[in-house]
Amino acid sequence: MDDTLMDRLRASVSRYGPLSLFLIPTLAIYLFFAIYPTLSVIGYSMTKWNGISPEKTWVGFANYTKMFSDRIFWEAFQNTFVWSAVIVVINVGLGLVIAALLSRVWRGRLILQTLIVLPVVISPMAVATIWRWMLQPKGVINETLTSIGLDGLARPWLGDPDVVLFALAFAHSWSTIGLSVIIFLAGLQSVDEDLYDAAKIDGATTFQAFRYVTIPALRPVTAVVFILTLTAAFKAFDLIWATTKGGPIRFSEILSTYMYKRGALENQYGYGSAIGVALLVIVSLATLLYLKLQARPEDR
Amino acid sequence: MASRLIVFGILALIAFLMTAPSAMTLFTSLKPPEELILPAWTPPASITFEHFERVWTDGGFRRYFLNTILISAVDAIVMIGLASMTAYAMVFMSFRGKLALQVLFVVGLMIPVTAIILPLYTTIRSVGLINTHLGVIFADLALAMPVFVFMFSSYFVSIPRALHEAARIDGATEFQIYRRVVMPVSVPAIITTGLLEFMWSWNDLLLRLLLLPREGMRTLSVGLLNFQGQQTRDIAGISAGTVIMAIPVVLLFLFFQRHFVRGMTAGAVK
Amino acid sequence: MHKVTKVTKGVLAASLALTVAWPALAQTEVVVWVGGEPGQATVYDTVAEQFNAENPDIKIEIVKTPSDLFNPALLPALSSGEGPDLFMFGTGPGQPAAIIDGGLVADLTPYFNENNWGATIPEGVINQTSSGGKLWAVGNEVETTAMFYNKKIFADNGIAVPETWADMTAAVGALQAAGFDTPIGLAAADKWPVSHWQSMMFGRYAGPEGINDVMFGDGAWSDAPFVAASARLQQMGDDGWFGPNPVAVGYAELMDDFWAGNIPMTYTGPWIIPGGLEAVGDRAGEYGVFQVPPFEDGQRIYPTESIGSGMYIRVNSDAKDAAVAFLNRLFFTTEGRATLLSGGTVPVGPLDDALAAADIPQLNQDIGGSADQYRGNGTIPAFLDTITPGNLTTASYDGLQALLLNVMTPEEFTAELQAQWQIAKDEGTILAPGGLSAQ
Repeated sequence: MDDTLMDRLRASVSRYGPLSLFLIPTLAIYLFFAIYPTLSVIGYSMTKWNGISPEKTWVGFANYTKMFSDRIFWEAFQNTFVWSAVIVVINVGLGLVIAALLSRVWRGRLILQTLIVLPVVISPMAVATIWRWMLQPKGVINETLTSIGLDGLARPWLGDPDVVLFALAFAHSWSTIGLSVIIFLAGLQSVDEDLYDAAKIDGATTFQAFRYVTIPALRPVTAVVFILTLTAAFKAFDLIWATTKGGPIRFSEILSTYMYKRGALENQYGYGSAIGVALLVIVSLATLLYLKLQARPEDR
Repeated sequence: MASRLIVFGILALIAFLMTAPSAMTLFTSLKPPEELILPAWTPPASITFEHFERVWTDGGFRRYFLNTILISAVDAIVMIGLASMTAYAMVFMSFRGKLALQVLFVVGLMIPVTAIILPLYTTIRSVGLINTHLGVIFADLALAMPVFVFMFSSYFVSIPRALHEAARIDGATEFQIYRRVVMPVSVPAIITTGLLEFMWSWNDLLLRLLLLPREGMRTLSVGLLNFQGQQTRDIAGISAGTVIMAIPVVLLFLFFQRHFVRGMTAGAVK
Repeated sequence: MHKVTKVTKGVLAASLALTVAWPALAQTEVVVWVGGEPGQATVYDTVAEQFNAENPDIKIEIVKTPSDLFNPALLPALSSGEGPDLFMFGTGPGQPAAIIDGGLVADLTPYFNENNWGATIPEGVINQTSSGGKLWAVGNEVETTAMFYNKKIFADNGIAVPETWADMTAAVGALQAAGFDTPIGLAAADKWPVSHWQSMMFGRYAGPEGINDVMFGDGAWSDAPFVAASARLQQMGDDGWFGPNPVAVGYAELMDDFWAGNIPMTYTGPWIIPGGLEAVGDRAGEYGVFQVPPFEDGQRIYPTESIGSGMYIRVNSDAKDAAVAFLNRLFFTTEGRATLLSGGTVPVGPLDDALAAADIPQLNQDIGGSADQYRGNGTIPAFLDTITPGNLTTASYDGLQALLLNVMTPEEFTAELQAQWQIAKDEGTILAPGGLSAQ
């Protein structure tokens, strides 16, 4: 009897031992410090709680019902969508173009590349300080536009409801696009040169080669860039908080700033949690949707 | 030839535009107080290092610097080990529940830290790690783990299976294969992970603000807030602090740039 | 001077290190979180150094938390029974309701009686820092808002300090004609600076009783005086008094412009003085302060004064007595008060002794002087946004920007404020009226 038990034990150790060695340390940390707090937030989102007092009142889905009929939530939702879309377009589109251009340069490339990637290392709070300064009505951006005769483009950036979200999205992209450029560059280096040669023989222009060789070859890389950019955009908080606090009025309010206002500043922690859960669900759905759309062209 | 010049011109313009805002910060950090009311884009007429001195000593950056280096270095090294081992299991080993684990990591990719900060605090407190560097390190590792598991997995997928099989036939244990076969060919992914995690950890503000309340434990990112009041700001202090904070990361970046470029997606392309 | 401080700090640090090495000395450690502006907060270090030297058995550790991002870091710490022993937080009926009702902070009434704090703290401040008959906080400083102006620009354009609304209108007109497109700087991009105008104008139109009536009685924010005040503010914006785009202007950037001499006036408070004086150097004499003249005929001027924050003691702190000893040294001794004053922080209560001993910047004296003339009229709160509940503050900030952008009418604005106030009342997130119950 003992023998079989020991044998079984031994068998399962040799079967699961290595696996546990590889997985358990990560899982222990990940489940305890990331998943468990996330589940707690889902729990809090079903309570009425000020985040401080020992008393929590269970309210079921009341916070969610309230959220769906909250006009400001939908404003923030819409802004989050616009904000993320602008950032994704810039970081994926422009990021790819910059990387493609860089890959055609040999002399001086390392310097150009370093300068373009540099803003990535600047801390988010410093990014906010720099940009709110530049975006002032008499800041460096408007002064430059005026001095090169483009007065028509000068705007009261942080105070104009129509442009504020775009101006801040641009600032966010400034500080994050370097990562996209690097990832695309890496991808470009591994694109098979033969494909370009073949395209050239077929008489393709540079642009056509880019369109029909580079872009399809980079599809998996694009997915990585897309997901990293999208999640970073959805989670962004510091930049908007330190420049406009969601203003003017609420024209730059996104879900993360709205969650902070309700949850942390107004002590409606339960409601803030519901907004946080919504944020998590929305960004997950967006990623899944993208992955699905992204898979389709190959079936054609 | 002409097209090459145009490309170079365009890139030089982009590089200039990308650099200009940082240059303003550098200028400001070097300006004597009486020049600070001049427009930010004017270079300093005379250079002073007094703001750096002030930030380094009175601003506490000397101590914060050590704290930050410690946390970021441990973060980066442990992350390399844990994320690569997890990715190894996900790619090379077969077990039940692998799909569920993948889903769990995808969800983790999306968790906004701002949303879970309060229960995260409670959790770390429950194990007595508030105001310890270890508490911050655990939180950093947990929250960034999905990204790097994702990155290592996409790299490992590109490693020829035959390499792995051959080692197994030779009687190597999984750990030996991981250590002697897989990791040595994954240098770019290792460097990418190390650099990125180091940089994110270096710049992170929220977790440090919350989990390290005591002065002696603070990091640079929190120290920078000392120059940012509720209403006013000490722009020279912020600028000098920003420059001090950026230097180590820029140096690391320059040093590893070559590898960094290859690391991120070598797997994803194939 | 500078070197001496550094040496003292070095010695202090060394002695601290020694104490850590020999726990047998058994010091009581008090962790204190102080807010304020970058230049201002250092004054607490000075007092703490003096205090530590005088009291070898107590070690005060000052942690500076100037940015508003520190507040969210404070709450979870407090609610789990940790965090600072002594800390700054908002006062009034709105902001501290959660920490007081949650039982996170200590009742300071016994210390108040024991140490005769009542001799120093004026009743108005007690009302803002008490509730349910108990004292919860010691007000840290008095902040008076007023119009800061550039004397040189005024003199160059032949403008005298305005005494009536007609003077004010003429002054703004003259400045506009002289090419100043922003006669009065207003940094509405940061939201809160507009609420200083709101607080002052609401108070001027409704009077101290009118404000009190809303705060603790049956009054409503939608009452006529508040509508009239909002309409006037909107009108000033429409007439370009605040420049073409106040909503696009940030506060820190605006102050840079003000100290650089590009903007003639701005309505703000004393917290900008330490940083400003450093920026202007020997041009400090070019700046002055005045009270905005009455907006309407027959209106009175009331000084706008609020306490900056309250100092609270954590309920389960082991160092309550030591914390109180530090409060006594800080706010209730002549040396402490003089040190605060010299650093540009005005402690609450009468200042005679401290004033004599302190070396106070001229601008701080000017603010005090301009307010003292009208003190007999009664005072009004300078920062409604820091004493009202969070939801009302959010609505005020957003609404004031909407007023300036002309997308909201004064009636809509005040109705929105009242609606949020009512929500807070219904939810019970407003404290009972202040004042201490007779013992």
